[in-house]
Amino acid sequence: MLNIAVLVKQVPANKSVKMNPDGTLVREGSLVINPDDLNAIEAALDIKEKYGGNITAISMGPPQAKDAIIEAKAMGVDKGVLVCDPKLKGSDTWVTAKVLVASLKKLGPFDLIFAGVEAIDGNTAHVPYQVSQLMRIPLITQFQNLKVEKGQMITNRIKGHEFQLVRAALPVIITANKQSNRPRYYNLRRIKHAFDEEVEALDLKQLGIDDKEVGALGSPTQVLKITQNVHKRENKKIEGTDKEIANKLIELLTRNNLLKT
Amino acid sequence: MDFQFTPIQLLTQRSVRRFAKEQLAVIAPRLDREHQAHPKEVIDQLAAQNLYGIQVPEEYEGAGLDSISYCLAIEEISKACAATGLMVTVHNSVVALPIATFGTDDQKRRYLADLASGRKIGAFSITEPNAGSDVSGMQTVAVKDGSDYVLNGMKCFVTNGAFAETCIIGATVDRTAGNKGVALFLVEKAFPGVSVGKIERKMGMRANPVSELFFDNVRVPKENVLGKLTDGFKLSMKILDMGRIGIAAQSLGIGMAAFEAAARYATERKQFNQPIGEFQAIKFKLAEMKASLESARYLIYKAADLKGHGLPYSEASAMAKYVAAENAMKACTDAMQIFGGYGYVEELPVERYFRDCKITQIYEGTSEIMQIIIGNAILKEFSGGLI
Repeated sequence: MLNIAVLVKQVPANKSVKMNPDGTLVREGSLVINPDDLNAIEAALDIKEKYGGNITAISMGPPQAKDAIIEAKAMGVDKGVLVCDPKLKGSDTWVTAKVLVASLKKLGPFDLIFAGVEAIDGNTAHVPYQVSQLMRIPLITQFQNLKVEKGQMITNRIKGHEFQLVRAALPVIITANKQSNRPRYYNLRRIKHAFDEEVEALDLKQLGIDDKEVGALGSPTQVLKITQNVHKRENKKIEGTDKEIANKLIELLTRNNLLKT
Repeated sequence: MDFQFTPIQLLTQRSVRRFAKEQLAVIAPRLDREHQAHPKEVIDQLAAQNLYGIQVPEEYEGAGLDSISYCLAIEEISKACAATGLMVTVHNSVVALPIATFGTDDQKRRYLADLASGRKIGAFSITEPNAGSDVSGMQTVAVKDGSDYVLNGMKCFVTNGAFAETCIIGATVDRTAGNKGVALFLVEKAFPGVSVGKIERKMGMRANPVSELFFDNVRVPKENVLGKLTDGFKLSMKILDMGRIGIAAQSLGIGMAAFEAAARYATERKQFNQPIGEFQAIKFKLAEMKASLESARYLIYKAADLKGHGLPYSEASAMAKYVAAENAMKACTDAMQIFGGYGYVEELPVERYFRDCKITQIYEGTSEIMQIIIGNAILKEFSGGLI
């Protein structure tokens, strides 16, 4: 029986994520499980179905992040824990990782920890690496055909056009994204039972973390400013005979360093 | 009175909506164009979500959800692909749920889990060439022979007919008794003597292989009679009451698809230097579409709610089906008008919505039969003297 954890984040459903002037997320409108995290849950469910085990979904977030945990249960995880504390507001990725590691230690030990590569709101892709660093455990990316044998995880990592056969002693943290697998849709019977038990909650006190270590003040990084990244597009009409058009196009592309001659 | 959905209902809606949008909406145009029955992958995906046993108790591998959740699921599926909605709603509400409601323990054990899990697809048929709205014209006969009934005859316009494996079939056991001589049988496609006839080429719902079914000396064990032998007609009417809630939700889904497409288009399409939605002629159409679909929606939930509370819902179900089918068809017509020529061509889905929607005014009881049911209920209520 493997003890498996999945790190889950709740994010805004629409693709255009808005930020507050202070660099924190505008949490409004419809909220969903971060897309890559669905792949992480799928990977965890796949491992559980192959080898048996228990899956705990862990999320750090405001009280409404409970819905993401409930959805993870609807997808098939066994248990959900929400790490929630008003003092956590404004925490950066390093603090998030520290808090998640404390939760993993309290709820674990876990053999496998799955996480999405990155969240569509902040797009830092920091947390899985930081968790791996803080826990001193291997981090596996780009996995394919994940297997667990004799206390080890074996996978064919996709490395560009090659496969890299990788073996690592458990525990490991594994990141997933939309190339990893196809997340299953929720099963209606599971939806019905996802609300049966209360989502377990953990606060800083229960994790033994000092208030001063978290929140904006405890965070080593700060987002100073968010600006719009505007993509400019220029349309140009090229006229002439086929040969003239081809020549002008080559000239234009070369001049803009888009074509190497 | 509470007009709020429960968390379970909301998550059901959201989950099925995502699936329908990502998987069904993508394949719907091709299945329609090619008169192609659902690929196995879709059938498997529906099964994995427990969409074949939405209201079936969990002990028989169903999801055990309520009637409102069921309506939400059917609406979302039908909005993306009406023909898939048809397969799912017929399987659920006129095959699986009737067996769960009226079947013996033995019948449930033998048939229900296979249906609810999607391992087998279901069909229901009382319709014959000469027995449509008038069931008493039924020609298929069942004659008792030892511990079996021997069925001979045929059914037509059987939804899911070509691939269904578990069918509820109406047959006459006593021709002199009219409606009281009708019985319902659980007939497996695998029983010797059952065969699939012509698969219809249809105006809409093309991904559903609606077919004829032939019965040639088919021996059906007496244990496969659903309910009391001579209650077949009464039971059929009850089953259709259930079915109509699903078909109404299906109409609503198609109508909503047409409405949403038209609303988006009205804000994008410019004529005379403004989006056409700014013209009152279009704006009023959109307003009417929305209000009329919303009215249908609440009639559907009312019927589903009555059913959920174990209260009589036959009239409510007929009203829901009648209003939903009529209003959805009107919404499809209006959507096509708003799209103009673009609504009439196959490149956009509006003409498919229009074609798919039309049958909802006809099957599971025509709109006119719905009016008769409602009218009869009115007369029953108001007869017996003046107050």
